[in-house]
Amino acid sequence: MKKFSIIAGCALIGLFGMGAAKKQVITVKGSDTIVILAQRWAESYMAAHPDVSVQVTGGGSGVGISALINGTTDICDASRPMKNSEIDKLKTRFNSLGVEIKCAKDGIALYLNESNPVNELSLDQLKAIYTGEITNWKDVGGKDEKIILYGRENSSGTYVYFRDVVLKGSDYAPATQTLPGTAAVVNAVSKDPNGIGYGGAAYAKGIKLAKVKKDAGSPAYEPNAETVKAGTYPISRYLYMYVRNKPTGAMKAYIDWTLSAEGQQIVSKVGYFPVN
Amino acid sequence: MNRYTAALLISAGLLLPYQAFAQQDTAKKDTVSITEKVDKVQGQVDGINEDYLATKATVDGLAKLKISGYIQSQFQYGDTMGISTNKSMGGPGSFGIGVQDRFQVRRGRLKTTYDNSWSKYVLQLDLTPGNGTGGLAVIKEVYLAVKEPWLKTFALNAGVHMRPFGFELPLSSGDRESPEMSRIIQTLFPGEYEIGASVDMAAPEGPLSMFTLSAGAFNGTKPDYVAIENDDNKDAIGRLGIKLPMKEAGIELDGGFSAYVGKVTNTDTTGGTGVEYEMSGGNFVKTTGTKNVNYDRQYLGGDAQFYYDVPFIGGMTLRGEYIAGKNPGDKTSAPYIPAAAASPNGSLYERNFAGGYIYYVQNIMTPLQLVFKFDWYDPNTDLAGSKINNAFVTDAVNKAVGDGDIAWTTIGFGAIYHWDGNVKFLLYYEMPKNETVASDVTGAMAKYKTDITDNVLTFRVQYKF
Repeated sequence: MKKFSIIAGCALIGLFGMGAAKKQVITVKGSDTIVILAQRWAESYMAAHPDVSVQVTGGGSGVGISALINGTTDICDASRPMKNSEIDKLKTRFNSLGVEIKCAKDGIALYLNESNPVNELSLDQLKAIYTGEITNWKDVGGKDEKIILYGRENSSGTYVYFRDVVLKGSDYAPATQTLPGTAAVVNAVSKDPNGIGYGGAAYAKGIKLAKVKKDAGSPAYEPNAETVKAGTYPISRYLYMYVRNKPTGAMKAYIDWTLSAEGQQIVSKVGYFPVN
Repeated sequence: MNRYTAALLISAGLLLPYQAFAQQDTAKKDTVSITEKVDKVQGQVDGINEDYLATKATVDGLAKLKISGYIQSQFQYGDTMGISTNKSMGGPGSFGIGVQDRFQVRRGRLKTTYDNSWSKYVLQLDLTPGNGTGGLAVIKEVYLAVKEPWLKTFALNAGVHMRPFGFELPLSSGDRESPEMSRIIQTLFPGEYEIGASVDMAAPEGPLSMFTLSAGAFNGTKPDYVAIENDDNKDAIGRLGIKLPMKEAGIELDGGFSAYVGKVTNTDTTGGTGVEYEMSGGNFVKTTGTKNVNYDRQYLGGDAQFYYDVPFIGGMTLRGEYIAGKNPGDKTSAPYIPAAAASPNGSLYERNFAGGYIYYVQNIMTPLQLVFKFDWYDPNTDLAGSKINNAFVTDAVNKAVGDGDIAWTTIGFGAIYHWDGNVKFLLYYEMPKNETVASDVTGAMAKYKTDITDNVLTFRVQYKF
C-alpha cells in the first residue's frame, strides 16, 4: 500500500509537473503589413505571460486566410476583410463563419524617394501611375524620369486593397516589380530616386511619404493619427485578426489584451493607429 | 636666402604646376574609369531587370495555373454478401456476387484551372481505376467562364459544368461529410455535370451580395451523352440563393430555391409505336402510340443551411433540402435518357416523386467532426408499398411496377478526423430501409416484402490538395 501510494504520488507530481511545464501555444499567421505589430504584441505579451507562447509568421493575408481555413493557424492577421468565397470555405470545413476582430487602423502610405520633388498625388494620378497610363514623373509635376513601380505580391492584403480601392479593380501595370514584404518595398524606393511604392505607414523609414488627395480639387493629406482617424486620408483601412470560432481560454485572453489600452499603445508605437 | 635656396625655390615653382597637372590628369582618368564602371554596372542592372521582367511575366502566367485534386481510398463492409439490390436508385453501392467487404479507390480526380481574373478555363479528369472505364481518364468537367469587368457580378459559363440545382449536388465529394450523395440527388442528377451554358450572379459587395443566382440551359441528357443533344429539348436549370449572416451572434441562415424545367422525348418502340405509363387513381395507365411524344421533367426544390458557432465546442450546421416534381424514368426509376434508335431503352414512366435529406454536422474543436444524416426518396408518390400486392403485380397493366416505384429512407452517422490540411479519415455507417410490399407478392417485387439487409460500414481516407 505504501509502495503504491509513493508511486501514485510520484505519478501525480509528474503529471502536474508536465501540466505546469506545458506552454499554451498560439499561432498567428498572415499579413506582412501587420507582422511587425503582431511580433511586438507577442513579445510584450509573452514577457508578461511566460506560460503562453505566441508564434508569429507573415506570408500575406491570403496565406494567413488559407492557413485559417486549413486549420494550420489559430489566428489569421489580414489587412483586408475576408471575401465571401473564403468565408464559404470556412463554413464548408468548420461550419463556422469566422470571427472578425478589428485590431488597428492603417493608412496605406505612398512611398517616394527622398530626392523626388513630387510631394502629393491624387487618387486618379495614382491609378494612372500604377496601371501604366502615366509612366513619367514630369506628368505629375516631377522630373523628366521614368517612374519605377514597386508593389506587393498577389497574396498580400495590401495588394488586393490597393487594387480594389485605388486602381478600382484594374490590373497593375506589368512593369510593377512585386516584392516579398513591405520592408522590401521601402528599401527599394529608398535606393531608387525614381521609385514609388505603397504599404503600411509603420514601415516608412528612409523614404518620404506622398500626401494623397481624393481628387485634383481636394486638399492633400499625409497618413497620421488625425487624418486616418478622421477619415480624411483617402486610403485608410482597418487591420484585422480572424479566428475560426469565438475565442476562448488563452486565445481570448491574448486577443482581449491586444485590444486593451496596453495593446493599443503598442499599435501607436509601431506606427499604426488605435481602433478607437 | 642664398643662391642655392633661390634656385631650389624656382625649380620647385616650375615643377608644381606640372605636378598639379599630373594629379588632375590622374583624377580625370579615375573619374572616367568610375563613370565607365558605373555605366557598365548600370547596363548589367538593366539587363538583369529585363531578365527579371521576362521571368516575372512567365511566373505570373504560371501562377494563374492551378492544379487541384483528391484521392479517396476506402474499405467497405456490407451486411450481407453481394449487396446490389438498391444500386439502381443510388444507395451505398453495389457489391459483387460473393463479395461482402472490399477495398476501393472511390475517386481519383485531377482538376486544372487557368484563372486569368476575368476568364477561366477548367478541365477536370476522373482517373478512378476500374470504374468501368478500364482505368481510362474520363472528362468530368470542361468549360470556360468569362466574368464581366464592370460590375464584377456576372459570369458566363459554357461547356460541361455543374448543374445549378440545390445545395448537395454542387458540393464536392471531397468536402461532403457523408460518403455518398443522398439517394434522390444520385437518382435525379447522375454524373452531376452536364453540357450547356449558364450565368452566375454574385455581387462582391452591397445589398445584392446576399443573393446569388445561377441559371442556364442544358442538353438534359446525362454525362455519357454529354457530347450530344438527342431529344432537341433544352432543359432550364437554376437556383436563387440567399445568405443571412448574423455575425455578432455567430449565426448564419442560408437557403435557396431551385427549379428544373425540361422535357424528355419518348423514344420507346414497344409495339412499334411506343408506350408510356402514368399513375391515375392508384393504378398505372398505359398509353400507346407515344413514340416521339415529349414529357415534362420538372423538379422544384428548396434548401436551407443553418450555421451556429457552439461556444467551447465548434461550429455546427443543420442543413436540409426538399425536392418534388415529375420525373420521366424507366422501370428502375433512373431518369429517362432518350436512346439511339438502334437501342431503345424501354417504355417511359412519368412519375410524381418527392424526397430530401437532413444533415447535422458538429465540429469538435479543430480536427474532429461528427455527422448524422437522414435522407428519403419516394420515386412514385402516387403508389404506396402497401398497395403493391399479388393482385396488383399480376394485373395486366399494373405489372409494369418495378424497382423504380419503391421508396427508400437511409439513416447514416459517422465521424471525420482531419489529420492535417490535406488528409482526412471518415468512418461512417449507413442503414438504408426500403418500402415494403404486401406479403403475398411473388416475382421480381417479392424481394421488397421485408427490409433488405444492406447496411454498409465505410472507412475512407482522403488526400486533397
